[in-house]
Amino acid sequence: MKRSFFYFAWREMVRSANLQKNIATKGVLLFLILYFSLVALAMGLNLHQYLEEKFPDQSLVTAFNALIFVYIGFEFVMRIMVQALPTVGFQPFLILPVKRKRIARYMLNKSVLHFFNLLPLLLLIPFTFKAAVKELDTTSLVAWLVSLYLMVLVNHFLAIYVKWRTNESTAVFYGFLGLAAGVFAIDYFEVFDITGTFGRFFDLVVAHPVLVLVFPVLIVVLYYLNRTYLLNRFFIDELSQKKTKASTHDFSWLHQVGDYGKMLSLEVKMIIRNKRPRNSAILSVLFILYGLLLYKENDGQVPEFMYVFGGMFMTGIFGMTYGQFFPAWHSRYYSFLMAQNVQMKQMLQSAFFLIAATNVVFYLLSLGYMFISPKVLYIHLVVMLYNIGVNSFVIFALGLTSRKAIDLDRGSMFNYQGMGASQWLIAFPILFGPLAVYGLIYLILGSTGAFIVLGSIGLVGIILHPKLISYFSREYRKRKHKMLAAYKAT
Amino acid sequence: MIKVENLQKAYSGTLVLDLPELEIPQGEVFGLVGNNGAGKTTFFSLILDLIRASKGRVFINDIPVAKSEEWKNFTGAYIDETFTIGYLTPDEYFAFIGELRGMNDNDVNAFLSAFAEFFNDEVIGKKKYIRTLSRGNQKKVGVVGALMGNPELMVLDEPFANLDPSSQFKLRKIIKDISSAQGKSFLISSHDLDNITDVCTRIVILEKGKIMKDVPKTERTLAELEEFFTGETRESQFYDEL
Repeated sequence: MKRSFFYFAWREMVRSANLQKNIATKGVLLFLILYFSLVALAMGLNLHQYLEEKFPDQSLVTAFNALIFVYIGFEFVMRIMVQALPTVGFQPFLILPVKRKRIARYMLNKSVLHFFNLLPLLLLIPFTFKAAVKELDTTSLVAWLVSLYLMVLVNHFLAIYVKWRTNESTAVFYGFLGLAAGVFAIDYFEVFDITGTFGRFFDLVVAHPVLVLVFPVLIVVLYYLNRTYLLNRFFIDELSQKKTKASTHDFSWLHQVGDYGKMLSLEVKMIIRNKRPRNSAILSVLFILYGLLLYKENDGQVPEFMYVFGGMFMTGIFGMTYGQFFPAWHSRYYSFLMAQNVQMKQMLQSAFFLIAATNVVFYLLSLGYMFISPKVLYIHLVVMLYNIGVNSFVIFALGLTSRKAIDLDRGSMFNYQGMGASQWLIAFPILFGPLAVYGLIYLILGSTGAFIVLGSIGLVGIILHPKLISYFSREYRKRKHKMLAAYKAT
Repeated sequence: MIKVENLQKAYSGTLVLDLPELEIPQGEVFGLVGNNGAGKTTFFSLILDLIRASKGRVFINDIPVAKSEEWKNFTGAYIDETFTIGYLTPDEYFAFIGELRGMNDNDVNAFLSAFAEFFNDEVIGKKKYIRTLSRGNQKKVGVVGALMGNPELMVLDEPFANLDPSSQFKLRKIIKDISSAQGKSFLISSHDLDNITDVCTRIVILEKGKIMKDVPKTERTLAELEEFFTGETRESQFYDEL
């Protein structure tokens, strides 16, 4: 019976729609896993050299311990954002003669099998052999190593518990956010040296190996907290998402833009009321800060090329994140739209308007960077024109190959559901298209000429947009059956 | 109203629907019955141009559905849950369809007030997204949405499924009222023989994609249908005939 639970889990994994992601997605996931593994491994192998240079008069283990809190804190944030809660798939078992305690235990045990719990070992083991072996005797070494790994598991169960709690109520979520900010502030402004104290505890473990027992106790406590939480909420309506009252802001003012206004207001509601598009939209707004990173170096004495790149990102990011899944955002009710009294043209017009409007808004916001360099005014402008006039249609062209439905309710962080090759590829023409145009013309005509050409191409696209939209609505209608069938199948 | 010419749909070589000829005149309430996999939903999806026919054509009011989008102006449909939008409230959903169908707020409210009894105070004015409604209420929203804007033709796939007995009864009355008072056409499929014989004026039995029976409704239709699907003749008929 014990075995059969894992049997179900295995089937669930192998047969899940997620695993039928295409090769490109698998490749990228694999790449990310390999990348982070290699980074951890490289850090593990080289950390002792770095620490020796930085803290020549300290023991390496002590210096290492002083950094643990930073790692654990970072890992905790990553876990909260990325790690999935082990909830799915328990419903069919609830009415079967299986003890709820066993289901809960199984769910928690299974959650331990996670990449995040493997990653620290890649860092820890090389460091142990490179540095710690030389400094510690066997007992201390084992105690130190065990305590570090158990700390990772403490983090694991703590993150799950916090995530459950914050999922349940918005108040707890903001409370937790405040607490985290508080801890960070206390440490950052040196009110109290949390990082140091945390590290010194591991120094103590080295000195008194018995102290390692603190960690199993912590894990057991957290494990039981999680288990009690699960057991108290083993009802299908309670382990799911938090319940919120529907907001009914109507956006009817959007109707004024024309006969596609009704599609546009639907589009805006879709973005605001669903987790995944909302996450993407919020991320796009945050992206406006990218310029601080990109332009700050050398007081704005960065090459013009960088401004083209930055403008590209900052004005066009929404178009990119939204366009990546156009028109699959509407996949769950695409058949309704196709049978209703909406013309394909109106759908495309509303999408075009949305992309153009966000571009203009983000352009205006990005003008703040004129404090760094006044060039932003015209460089971002031509890039924005290009984004609207050319990249919108690149998005429409790639949208023709959309074949995967999107689940609107899941977060967008590391969510590869609905990703196909074209979703990965979209970045290339959109980002590198204008850069290539700029680069080529720059070589021929110089900087001013390049900007004029870039802006003019964009303007031509904007002027021709009714024609282009008509063309694309014909193409979308031609592929309508394929899209409908594919959305149904995913 | 609807004309089907030589319509065929095949999936990887297997023919799932084969209708050499079928005409549905204006004002008819056309009932489609058949076991699972008979091709009912396939047929409806072909009429709405949601799937591509392997062969043949469908016309609504002489408009070829695969060629033009004009038929959408006077056709309402509810096939499955993909016809509702989960993140809208029912009120917003109706307002959205109303806009698409050229109705103003007053028209929409007047239209919906006729369904107050059907909705049983559980749908309108509640601040709940459609995705959080019960299955039955979701179906009510979708079906009523399909009736909006005075369409000439309404295509409803299994409108009675998931509804409670009183709602089924009310829906029967709604469909009969609309068809008799306004001469509108309906295409309805159902597994419930009782409901379908009550509302329809013509009944077609579909099996493995082919029409097995095509009859106007009479007194005996329900008994005939039951015979067809159970393979048994009812005892009572013997006495009825005496």
